[in-house]
This record gives sequence, structure tokens and C-alpha cells, in this order.
Amino acid sequence: MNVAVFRKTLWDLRWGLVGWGVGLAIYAALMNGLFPSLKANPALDAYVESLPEEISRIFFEGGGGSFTDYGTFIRAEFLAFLPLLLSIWIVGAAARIVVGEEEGKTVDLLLAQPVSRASALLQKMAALLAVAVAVPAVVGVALVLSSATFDPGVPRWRLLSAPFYAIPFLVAMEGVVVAVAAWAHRRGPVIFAGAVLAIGWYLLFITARLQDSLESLRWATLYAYYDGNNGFHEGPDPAYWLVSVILAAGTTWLAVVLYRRKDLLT
Amino acid sequence: MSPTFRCPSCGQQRLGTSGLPLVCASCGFAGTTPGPAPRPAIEIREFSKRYGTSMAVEALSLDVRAGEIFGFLGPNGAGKTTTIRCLLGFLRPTRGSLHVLGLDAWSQAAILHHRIGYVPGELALYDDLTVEQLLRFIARIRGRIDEAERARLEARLKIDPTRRVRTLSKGNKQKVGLLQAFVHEPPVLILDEPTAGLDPLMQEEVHEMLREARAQGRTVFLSSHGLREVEEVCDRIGMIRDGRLLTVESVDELKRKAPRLFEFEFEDEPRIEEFRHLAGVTDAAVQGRTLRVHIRGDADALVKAAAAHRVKRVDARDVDLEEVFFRHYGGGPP
Ligand SMILES: Nc1ncnc2c1ncn2[C@@H]1O[C@H](COP(=O)(O)OP(=O)(O)OP(=O)(O)O)[C@@H](O)[C@H]1O
Ligand SMILES: [Mg+2]
Repeated sequence: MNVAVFRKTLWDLRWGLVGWGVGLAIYAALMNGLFPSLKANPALDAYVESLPEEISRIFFEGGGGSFTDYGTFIRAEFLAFLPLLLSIWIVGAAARIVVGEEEGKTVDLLLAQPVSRASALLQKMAALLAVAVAVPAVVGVALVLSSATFDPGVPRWRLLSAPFYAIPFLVAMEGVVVAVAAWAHRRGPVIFAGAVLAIGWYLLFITARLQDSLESLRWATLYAYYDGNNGFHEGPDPAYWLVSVILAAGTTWLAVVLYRRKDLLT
Repeated sequence: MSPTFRCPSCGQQRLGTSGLPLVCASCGFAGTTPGPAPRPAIEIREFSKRYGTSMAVEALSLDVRAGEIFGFLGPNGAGKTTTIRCLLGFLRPTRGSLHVLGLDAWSQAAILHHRIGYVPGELALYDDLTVEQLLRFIARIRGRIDEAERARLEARLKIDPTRRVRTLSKGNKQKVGLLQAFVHEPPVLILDEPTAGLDPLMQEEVHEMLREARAQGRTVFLSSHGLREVEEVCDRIGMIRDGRLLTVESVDELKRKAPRLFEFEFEDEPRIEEFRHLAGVTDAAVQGRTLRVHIRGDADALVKAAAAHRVKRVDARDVDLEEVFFRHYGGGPP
């Protein structure tokens, strides 16, 4: 199988991998560095308990929680933001590797070669996916290493695997954004649509948590399929992964259909 | 792939397309290869392309014969690039069909591209790669690269493969674009303004490469603004304006029709009557010691009449392409 486009795209994404990997690793290490002093400070729990219930619900799934419990702390302060942060990267990267070639006019050079549009697009998506898996791996390692000085109270392999719960979310998000990119001709609209989706879904997700009557709305957002909060203690739920994979397959199929039909306007 | 033929005069093997007149590269023997007349290398039928509400190309039908150099000539915005990008399957025709080597340009693009070398009109290469990396990337997609041919073309086009694409001048980028199109020795070359940005020596080198490609039986479809360029290399020319094909003519025919502008500077002041009625002169004007004459066909009478004066300077050039269109195909400027 010819994977030249996959390899080149991976190469093009290398700085994103380094930047986001290192950035998020530092973020994780900072949070882990804070934890021992928080744990030693019981006043914090009293403060958390004094928070209005709505605020508490934003931070802790199902309401109450304690910052002196490592699992609760790292979920609320780091893992909860991981999908939002990574979707910012996915949106930019997908826009660049798909429509960026039209905007930069290099698409004429690429697709004048004997590679089908479907193959070129799928190879690019695969490269994006590879990086989307590599970043959580780096973050997982960072979580393990930077918690070496204290006892997190959970097995270390759970720490290592926690960021991977973002993968079903990222796969589905990638499918959605690439489908938009496969239809658009310029990066601007893709980034706009991607940002609206990423932030809009996030707000909807938070709203659904706050309002019991809107609870079911959370399933309309991709964030619901980010299982990091539950999985941290209870292990992965195959249903979430299944839904994400089905979503990803559907949006990937849509992306390929759109990309094969489109006029490549340079 | 093109079949191989043996020259009936010297016996040299060479590539060719059946049914075409060929000139043997070794002994100069001219003849026709055996076999039936082949299907045209490029067939465009009732092709139209619309962008939104504006029609870029309308009902264009055109055949490019296998083994010829075909020039696609027209002013800015005529629809040359649109047609070419449809031939590569980047744009979907609004109506009609485009076939290259018998394959549909839109639906069979990926297979077809094994057999096409293409230089885009607005060439963009991957800026952060070196020329070598770029060629290796393309070779990986294509599955192979002929290293000897690559080295030969690099030397011929004076390309430094270690340079990063971003640091290349416009002309040097264009040479890399040409290299990647020629290096796989495709049977069909589709070139959108291939010599844009090249210095005159390099332009001549590229023209020579085109003639060699033709001698090997390959087909070339190129676009250009320059009548002189297409005159120099093309067998036939298609003229397009406002998305409509005006005419397809052989270069010889066109040369007969196209006026040229001669400008003489004499030591004395000429009289216009001396020149106005000469054979082929369509228009003449005198301004001080300078004479400007539009002439169609051969310039013999004009030069002989001019010889009656002491000539300080003479200049001849093609009349603006747009003017050729207006003179021969009617209509004012768009
Ligand atoms: N992406 C586009 N959207 C809308 N109109 C377009 C687009 N690209 C080209 N056109 C229009 O289509 C017409 C033909 O353009 P095209 O680029 O094919 O001309 P051309 O003959 O290659 O010109 P040039 O000699 O300047 O390269 C022009 O009127 C142009 O404005
Ligand atoms: Mg053009």
C-alpha cells in the first residue's frame, strides 16, 4: 500500500505534536505539582462545599466532590479540559491539511499524481488520527512521571490511560471537522465552523449538567462521549467508544463523498 | 504505452504512435508509421464550466492528436486554466466531457495521472521541502523515479536539488515544476504556461525539450499568451476568448494570417506613399523619421522598399494577440 501522503502529512504535523504534547505535559505536571499542597490544606474542602451547587456541578460530575481526592482534582482541573483543548488543535490541523492545500495551491501538484482523492484524504485523516493518539500518550506519561513524588491513591496505569479516554471524542471530532473541510474551499470558514462546534457543544454540555430538565441534551454533544470523568475510576465503557467509532465512520464516509465531488478551487 | 517502431531507412528503434507522420531522430527520414489512424490523445466534447453564475468556458470541442504539440492560446481570463484543470480532474465539467488517452478526466483521474505530466499555471510546491525531498515524495506516490533521467534533467535545467523550495526564485521554481512533469516520461504533457518566469535561454531549452518529447511520439498540450512561443514549438493552435474556442489552426496557416509590426528608423524622413500600398501591408504610419507598418505574410517588398533609405534601426514584433483576434474574428474588446 502506498502511504506517501500519510507519511508526508505526519511530517507536516510534527510541530503540532511537539507543541501540544509538550504544552499539555507541562500543564499536567503543574497540576500534579500543586496537588500535595492542596491535599495538606483542609480549608479548601470547606471552600468547595460552600460553593453554590451549580458551580460545583460544573466541576464535579454529579455534584459534590473533594479537591483533596487526587482523582477528583485532576479530572476537574486538567482532564475535563483536555478534549476542548485538543479539539482546538484538531480544527486547525484539519483545516490546514485539507483545505490548506487548495488555499496554498499545492493541491494541483499533489492530485496530479496517481493518487485518488479518497486515498489522499484518508491518508491525511489517518495521519491526523495518529497524532491525536500520540498527544494523549505523551500527556499520560507526563501525568505518571510528575506524580512520582506523592501517592495519587489510584494505580499508575489508570493515570497513564486517563488521557486516552479523549480518543473516541477526538476521532469523532476529526470526522466532523474534516467533513466540513472537505466541503469548504478556504480555511477561514472551516476554522469558524470548527470553533463554533467545539465551543458550542462544550457550553451545551455544561448547560445540560446544570439543568436537570436538559440532562438528555448532553448526548447531542460530542463531549458526552469523552469518558474521562467516569473511566478514571471505573474503566472504559465500550458503549461510548462504539458510539464514537460509529460517528467517526459516518463522518469520514461523508468527508470522502464530499471531497470526491468537490471542485478544487485554487 | 506508445508502441515501438523501426525506422524504414536506418533501422533505429523508437517510440511512436501509429498512423502519425514521424521524422526519424537518427537519420532524418520522414514517413508515416504503420497502422490505423489513432484516437486523439485528448478529446474535449461540448465542454462547459460555470463558476457560480459566471460561465468560464462554453461548449468547447477540441481534439489534440497523438504526437502533436498543441498550443492553447488566449488572453487573460479566457478559460485556459479552467479547461486544463478540468483535464486533470480538479474541476468537474458543468456540461460535456473530457477524455485523455481514452479515459474520462473526471472519473478516471487517478489512473490517468500515471500517464500525464502536468505543470500548473499557478505553480505551488511544498515550500518547506528541498527539491530533492519534493521529488522523492512524488516518486513515492508514483512508485518509482528514473534516477538517471532525473539527474539529466537537473543538469539540463540547472536545478540545485539541495535547495529548499522556499528559497528558490520564481523561475527556478518553475524549472522544478517542469522537472517533476517530465521526469516520469509521461505520454501526455499538459502544461499551463510552462515557460512563464523563465529567462530566454531557459525558454529555448524548454522548447527544445518539447520538440524532443514530440519526436518520441509524446503529446503536448500547452497554454500560452505568446504568439511567438506557440509559433516556435506548436503544430497547431487553438484560440480561446471569453470561454469560447474561436478557431483551431495549424501554425503555418496562422503565420500567414497574423500581422507583424515593423518599425524602421531612417536617417531621413520617409514618405508614407512609399509603403502604404506594398504587398501585405495592412496599415502604415510615419512619425518623423520613424515608420510603423503592419504586415501580413512575407516582408520581402517592405524590406526592399526600406532599403532605398539609410536604415538606422529596425524592429519587428508580433502584433498584440488581442489585436489578432479582433482583426480576424470580429468583435470589439470585451
Ligand atoms: N475560482 C473561480 N471562481 C470564479 N470565477 C473564476 C474562478 N477561477 C476562474 N474564474 C473565472 O473564469 C474565467 C476563466 O479563467 P481562467 O483562469 O481559466 O483564465 P485563463 O485563460 O487561464 O487566464 P490567464 O491567462 O490569466 O491565466 C475568468 O473569467 C475567471 O475570472
Ligand atoms: Mg491561466
